[in-house]
Amino acid sequence: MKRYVKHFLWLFILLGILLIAMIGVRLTHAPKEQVTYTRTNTECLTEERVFDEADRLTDAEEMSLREMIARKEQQIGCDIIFMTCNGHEGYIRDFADDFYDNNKFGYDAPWGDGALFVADFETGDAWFCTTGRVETRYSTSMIDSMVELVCDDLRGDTCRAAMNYVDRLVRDMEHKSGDGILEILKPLHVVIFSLIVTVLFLLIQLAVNIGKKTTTANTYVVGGHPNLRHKADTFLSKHTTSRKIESSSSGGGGHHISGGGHSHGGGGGHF
Amino acid sequence: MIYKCKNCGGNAIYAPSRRAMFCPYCDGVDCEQAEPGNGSMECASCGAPMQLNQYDSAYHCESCGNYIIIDERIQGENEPHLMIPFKLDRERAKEIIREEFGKKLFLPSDFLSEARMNKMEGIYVPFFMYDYFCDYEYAGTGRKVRTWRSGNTEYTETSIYHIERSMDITFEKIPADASILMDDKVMDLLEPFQYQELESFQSRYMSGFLGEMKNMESDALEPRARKKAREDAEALMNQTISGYASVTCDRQNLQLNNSAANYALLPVWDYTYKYHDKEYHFKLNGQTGKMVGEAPISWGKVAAYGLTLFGGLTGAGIMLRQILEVLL
Repeated sequence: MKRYVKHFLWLFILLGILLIAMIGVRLTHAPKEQVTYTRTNTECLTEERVFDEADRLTDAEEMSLREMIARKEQQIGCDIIFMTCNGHEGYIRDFADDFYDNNKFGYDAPWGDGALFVADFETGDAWFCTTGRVETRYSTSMIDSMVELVCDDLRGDTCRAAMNYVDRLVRDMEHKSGDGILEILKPLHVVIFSLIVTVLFLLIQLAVNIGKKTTTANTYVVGGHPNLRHKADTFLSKHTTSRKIESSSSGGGGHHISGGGHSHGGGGGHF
Repeated sequence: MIYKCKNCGGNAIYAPSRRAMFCPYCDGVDCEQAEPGNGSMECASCGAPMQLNQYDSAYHCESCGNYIIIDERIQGENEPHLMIPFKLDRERAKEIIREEFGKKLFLPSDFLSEARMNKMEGIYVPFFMYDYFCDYEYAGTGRKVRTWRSGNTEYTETSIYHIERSMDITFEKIPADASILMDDKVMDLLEPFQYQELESFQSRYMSGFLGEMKNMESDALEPRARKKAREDAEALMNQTISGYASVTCDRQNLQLNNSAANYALLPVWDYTYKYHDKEYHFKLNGQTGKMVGEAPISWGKVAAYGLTLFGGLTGAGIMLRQILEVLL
């Protein structure tokens, strides 16, 4: 028992410190209030956020989506626009940029903070257009992830795809500096980490077999080494083969300036 | 045979720490006197019947506590040629076991207790030691591979060599235990013994220890030693062939000629621990202190330590998350 206590003293002290710290923090810090943003863009040409030109959503779904977007826009301070269509002119990226610019979207100012997802059900093209803070926030991999998430459901359940788009956008925009640590410290991660450490600890302690071979091939050789009477390495032949090295190329996206002269980011996919 | 102290008549034993015969009753040193025994049936000291195994050559009488050597099992054709006397005494052997297992958490509580470890016995184990002369001829094909790039082309050049080697190796005293009771693998792992301390057999070194006579003749064991010699010779040959990406053996001729076999007694400490109806044996090289064995595990302790660590780490992680959620 003494040995057990001595072995885990560090753990008991750590748990004690964390318990005290947790209680202290709970007592001294009031729960954080939800931050809400006020829209300051007065030049936007429309109040509409759901443009279902391909008629993929029912009226009830459109209504539900509009309500959701209205609520979430206040939460993150960004315009959230979702659009379906059956065909478009030109490159879908330019089409999306122009739509955003022409309507002067942006939560804080025209062409300001906001995002637009366009899905063309005729061509199967999709584009996620980002502007302002959303453009700054989204990396290429985040854009790819968003496009993949939404495209997965577009044909099967367009409403769910649209809601996934809104949810992911809100989650990404609310991401704080400490979220990385909290992500690591998810309860499931903590349990898995603890399990791995425990298994390793047990395996090390359970290795109670003692005794390894400590003799070598020389151990019983008189003089410690054999008498090498003859040693010859004779070159016989040589042959050479060759092969072409395949080179791979990759492309990437980035920020660009729209036809209207405004900066946008984003990326596209196919569904 | 029993060694008695000339001064007090007590049982004189060989004390490894003093490298001398010693009387634990009067502290006399080199005061021993050999007295003949009563055969293999009765203790030469107290006359109590002895429970000897077929091959026991030295016995610890349970009645009087004296160490008896069975004359007919160490004389004539049973007389060993060589032996290494115990170099480690019981206390040092106990220290070594404690050093090895002292930090292990899952051993039963009394595994390292004084009472248990005092039951440890030193045993002279019979071995045969074989000498071989090895003549080894080898021929093979080796490949060296060089790879380089030029532009977008990779070139691989393979060079082929004919390899020839011939060597002779003199092996001396490759040991193989001549005891049925002792596990061959364990005995092999106890090697090597330091042969510079080999001496001609002297029965006085056996006083204070248990002993076994050879359980079989050298011919029966020779294949085991021959196998060791062959493996060592092949390893030595492989050491001379280097620098190749791959080697194929085309022809080899390995001749092993056995030139001598010596019967020897080598010192081994045996600690037997019984736990949950199973016996755990630890063997210690009585000369070098090298240890071989598998320790028992208390699964109750495994569960207690495992659950505490798992629960503690999980609790710490969850609490840390709770704190950070409020602070960040």
